[in-house]
Amino acid sequence: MLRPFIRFLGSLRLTIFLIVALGSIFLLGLWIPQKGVIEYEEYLQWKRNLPTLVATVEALGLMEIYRAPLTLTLWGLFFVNLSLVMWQRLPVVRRRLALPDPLPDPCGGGFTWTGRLELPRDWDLGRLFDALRRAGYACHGTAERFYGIRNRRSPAASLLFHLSFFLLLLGGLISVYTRFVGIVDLAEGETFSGELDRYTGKPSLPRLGGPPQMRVTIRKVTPLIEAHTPTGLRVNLEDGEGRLHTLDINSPFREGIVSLVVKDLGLAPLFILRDRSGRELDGAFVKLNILRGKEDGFRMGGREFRLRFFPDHELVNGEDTTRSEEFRNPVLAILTVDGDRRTVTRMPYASGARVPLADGELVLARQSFWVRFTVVSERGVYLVYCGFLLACAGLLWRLGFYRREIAGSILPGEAGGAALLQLAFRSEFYRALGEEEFSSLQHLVKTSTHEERGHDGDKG
Amino acid sequence: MSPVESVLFWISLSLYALAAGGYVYALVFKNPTITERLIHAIAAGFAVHTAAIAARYAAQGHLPWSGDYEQGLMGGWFIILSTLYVGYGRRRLHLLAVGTIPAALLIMGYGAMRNPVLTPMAASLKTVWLYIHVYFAWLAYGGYTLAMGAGIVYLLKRRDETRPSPNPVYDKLPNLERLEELMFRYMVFGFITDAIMIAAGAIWAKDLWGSYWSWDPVETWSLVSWLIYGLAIHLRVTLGWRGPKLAWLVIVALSTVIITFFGVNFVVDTSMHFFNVR
Repeated sequence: MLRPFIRFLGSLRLTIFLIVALGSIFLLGLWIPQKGVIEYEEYLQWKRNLPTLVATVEALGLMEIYRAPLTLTLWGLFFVNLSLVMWQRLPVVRRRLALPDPLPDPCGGGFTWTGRLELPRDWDLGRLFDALRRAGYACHGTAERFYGIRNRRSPAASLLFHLSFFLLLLGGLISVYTRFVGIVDLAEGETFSGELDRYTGKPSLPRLGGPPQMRVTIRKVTPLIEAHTPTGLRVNLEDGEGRLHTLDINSPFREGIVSLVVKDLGLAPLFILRDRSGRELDGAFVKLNILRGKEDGFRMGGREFRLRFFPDHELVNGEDTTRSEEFRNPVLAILTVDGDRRTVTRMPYASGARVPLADGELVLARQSFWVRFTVVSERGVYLVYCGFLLACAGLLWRLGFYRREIAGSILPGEAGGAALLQLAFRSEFYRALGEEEFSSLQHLVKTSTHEERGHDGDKG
Repeated sequence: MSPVESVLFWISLSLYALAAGGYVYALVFKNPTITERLIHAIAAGFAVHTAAIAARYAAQGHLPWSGDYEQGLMGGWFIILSTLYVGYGRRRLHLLAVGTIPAALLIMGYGAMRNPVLTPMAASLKTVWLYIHVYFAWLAYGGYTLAMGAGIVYLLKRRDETRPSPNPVYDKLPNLERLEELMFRYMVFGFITDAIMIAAGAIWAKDLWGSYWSWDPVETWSLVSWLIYGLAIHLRVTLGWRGPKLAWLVIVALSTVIITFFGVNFVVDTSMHFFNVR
């Protein structure tokens, strides 16, 4: 009872079913809106329109399909199947890796192609082996029966390939359980020591271990924009030991298992509120998310300010617009709300620029940027990378450096004539390539044994 | 695109279209004599195509790697390169172009209708992993397209062999056994390079997004297409699937590659991939 079940679990048919099932689940994940991707408002509307469908989808966990119980079960079965397949193949692979004993008989079947050559009386096995070795074959045996093999260890590569899945699984599991992800906005001059309350939103805490510890200070931020295209976001950062690092998009800061990935940019100007006499009432660096046409605001001195930013400002029919995303003519449009009075004032985005208010002024004292970082801390990533490496190497080795075998034996010539060399050849996977190789090997053997007369090689 | 690039692009497209038309003519009118000349039209188109890429490189200072147009331009180039490479010195393989040239025409034509504007290299694309990822993606897709081309001519030749008056054009093709093995070899080549592409993409994603795998639609589809080709290889090697079944499989499997590349952006607007992002 148990044995057939285990046989089923380790069958190739189950592998195929699981690959198809997992592929189908992945595809389903593209069609069913996934949590973390769908906007909350969209989700609510969907729920209102199709309550039964949404309830069913949610009950089955399909809105988090990649972590749904069904998906995890399939993954579990996949790895059980893989383990059993590897277990079943292990003796086969070990047998194939070992040198055959006795050496295979070229007349005994099991080969795809065979051929025969007449041998001169003074033929030399050493020279024949040298020629085969130059063609990449390891040679064994005697003049009576010899055997050459190329890429003998290639079958081990299929085990390596399958093993790579376990490395990916292990690395993936470790990273899922130790992964911390948080988003933090840091302005120039700001220091961050990993305080949880400074993350934007709620960071995703690891199931094992705590949040990352680090100390970094942002020294300078330089956005690079050419013709509407952000071409760089250079961030000079000082770590806890006073070392300077230059970060960019694609070039995160790394300290142990923690990395700070540069994600986005915003303006963080220093605004100072003054009364009519010039006395400073309030002041702060304000992190504004106003690039790419967004509107943002802040409160200062009991007033609300709403801001829009035009990096390359121009007025078209009285409307503020920007010609490009390059900071050629940066202008802030500030809406001040003063009781019932709402006033829009434009000011150049430059130090010293000011907005007059009913009872004073708002001064832009310093320009500055903030950068949005994704703080990620996780273990197991290098296991995943090793898995990738092993998978690629295993595939290349198995399918690119496939195994080829040649066997030969001497047959007595008829009626005291010249002896005959019986050759047999087989190759994995590629029949046409094998045929070509056997043809060139026959030529090689003939040349190396000084055989000049015509041969009667034929396809078996 | 610049005027020079535009002229070169349309000339190359016209030459490919001419070649595709020539193959249709040869097949429909059973005229094998012109098929050998068509490879010259493809080679000429490829030379002009290469010049178009050079013109774009000169105009924007980097190789075309992003956006639908650039993907079409480079993708078509890799497909044609693969076609010429396998056909070089092997006359019997020229006819694989019956499948590959229309595929190149389609993606180039689609790209031309999208966003051919010249842009500087976006910050997100400035990494050595881009070159590894995209280069291997195109090698993979070139391999898969050739497998599909071999699959198509396999089915056509097989059907023709049962007819009372066979089309002499198919005599120029390798025999069915050879074609079937070619399908398998191109598929294996695509599968290995596809694996390298996925691995390189994951390492790049870790630097760019902070996560090596995000179940992004494009990631998911590329995994699905890799799994399908893996399945096809298993079916051929272990269960002995051969002939028309394998041919249909490689033809249908290419649709997953096309969806990964062009289809996902039609269906979802949440992909983190940069095919359309500037």
